[in-house]
Amino acid sequence: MLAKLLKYEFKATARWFIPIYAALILFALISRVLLHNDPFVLKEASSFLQIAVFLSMFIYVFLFIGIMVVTLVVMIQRFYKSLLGDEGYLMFTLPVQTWKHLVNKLLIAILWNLLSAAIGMVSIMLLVPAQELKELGSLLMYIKEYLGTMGYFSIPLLFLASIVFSIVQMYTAIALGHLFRKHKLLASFGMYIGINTVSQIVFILIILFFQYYLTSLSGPVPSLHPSHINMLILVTGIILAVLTAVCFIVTNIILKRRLNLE
Amino acid sequence: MNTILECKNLTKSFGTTKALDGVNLTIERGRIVGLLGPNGSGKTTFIKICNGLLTPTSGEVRINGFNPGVETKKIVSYLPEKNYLNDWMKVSQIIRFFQDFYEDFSPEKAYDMLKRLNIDPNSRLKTLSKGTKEKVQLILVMSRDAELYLLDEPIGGVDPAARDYILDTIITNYNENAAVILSTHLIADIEKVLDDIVFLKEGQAVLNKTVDEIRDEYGKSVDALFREVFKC
Amino acid sequence: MPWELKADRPIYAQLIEQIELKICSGIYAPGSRLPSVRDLAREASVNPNTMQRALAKLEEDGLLYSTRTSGRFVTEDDNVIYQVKNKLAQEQIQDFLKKMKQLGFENKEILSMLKTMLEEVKR
Repeated sequence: MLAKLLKYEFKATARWFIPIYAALILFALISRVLLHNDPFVLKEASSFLQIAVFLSMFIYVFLFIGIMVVTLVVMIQRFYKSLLGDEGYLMFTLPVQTWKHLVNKLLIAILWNLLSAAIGMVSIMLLVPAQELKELGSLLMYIKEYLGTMGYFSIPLLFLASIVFSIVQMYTAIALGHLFRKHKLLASFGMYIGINTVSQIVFILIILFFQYYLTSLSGPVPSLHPSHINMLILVTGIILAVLTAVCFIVTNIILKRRLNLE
Repeated sequence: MNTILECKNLTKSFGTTKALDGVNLTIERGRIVGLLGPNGSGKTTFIKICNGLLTPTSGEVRINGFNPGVETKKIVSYLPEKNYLNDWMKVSQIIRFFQDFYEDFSPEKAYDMLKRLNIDPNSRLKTLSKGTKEKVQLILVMSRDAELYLLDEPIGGVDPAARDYILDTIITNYNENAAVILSTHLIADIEKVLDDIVFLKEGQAVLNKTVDEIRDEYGKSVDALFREVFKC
Repeated sequence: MPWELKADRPIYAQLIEQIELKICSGIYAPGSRLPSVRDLAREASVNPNTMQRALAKLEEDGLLYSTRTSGRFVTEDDNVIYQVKNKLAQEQIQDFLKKMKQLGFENKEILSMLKTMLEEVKR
């Protein structure tokens, strides 16, 4: 059942993303071609070329920001409207357990988040001349120096965990807002701020505790040893996972036992 | 078990308003039941609770022995009052959708009905008129071999010819194993097709008899009785 | 002949009358096979259970009989049909007489009116 849900969810959302992804790549390429590998040539180029470059870059940036906006909006819409709006009548009468609906929306939201990020990076790499990309190489060396090869895994994983948590947070906020009879949207907003605040406090508290624990071990001002940083990353990851699980469970309970579709 | 739906002391409040107030109901298989009442009497609320789209404030509903959940959703076919299909799909795609999720769905039946009503399966739902979309929704619901059909105002927004077709479909689809509950305020059109009548007034079931019992006892049609009971 | 069902009388009783009428007038010929309950219900736009009830009563009365495999049939017993015809005729006549009496006609007048109208119909 989950696979079927995923299939339809993907189809429903792809129609928004594929065109805009394609457009972004297109304008990255156009801009790159127009810039002819050397932006400084521009000053001597014809005014027609200047305008063309300006337009192309403008559209590119517009699309870039657009992708971020669309990713966020689609993510929220697929939960707020498609699950708790009229389409909810279709979804919640399917013989499917509630958690599968949640996982379905979550997985596809993660997919588009990652894809949007990836397409964004690809477009930048297309746009920017090769020398600039050497910066990326040095970034990777930096990671290795401070976190060891573990860093190559732990950083992306942390990145993924934080994306997942940020999505689930929104779902929980919307679900909590759904409990209100009036002003559901406003309530969701408020809930989101609440959850955000609470989770940030939880984070800070645990990190502080962790630091205290470290100082008590190796004396004041601990040196930035790779294993310490990795530990920090691990702890952060665990906190994210736990918070994500809590939010997921809360959302599931609300949708299962407190559903009230208008 | 001949009882397909059992409702005990069902109450649903929205804030201070009681949409349903202690409703007790038993529906047997093989019956076509009319849930009648003026707007706001709780008909839609009752049906939504049976579907698990609303949670009761107190009391319970059991369908085939289960509370509304995955087990009941497999055997309940629901036609909501509103338009609930996602616009971006074509008719053929929503049929595929139903086929994917409901084991008892028959695409052949659906396509046959679409043909009879002159609806092009390739058209996008977005482009269809409101009446046509309602017909599509009805076709999807009736193409399922369910044990309980819950139809919320199935003939409300449709033209008289389509109305006849809908009633005809309900009669044709009849099987002794399934029950049909339909809510409506257009009683005259539908009276002859009903077995039992449940009148809902202000959230309570005030009358529960068969159509012929009513006509015998009161010497008038259910429609006429309804107008009396609910006189403004 | 379309089904005529009035709104203020039990449907089941009306269905029985309508089928009796159809049998007597030959629409459902003696010995002929009746459509299925469902088809009849669709034709009349009534609930199948109600139609079934009516058919069961007619079976009880001997106008119909059913075999387990081949469905329902109209009786071939002319006597039974004749009885029903009679019964319906008497009901019609009683109704007619009641209305004529209401209009204030006497028996003699009624008889002579009938004679005259029947002559006219012959022509």
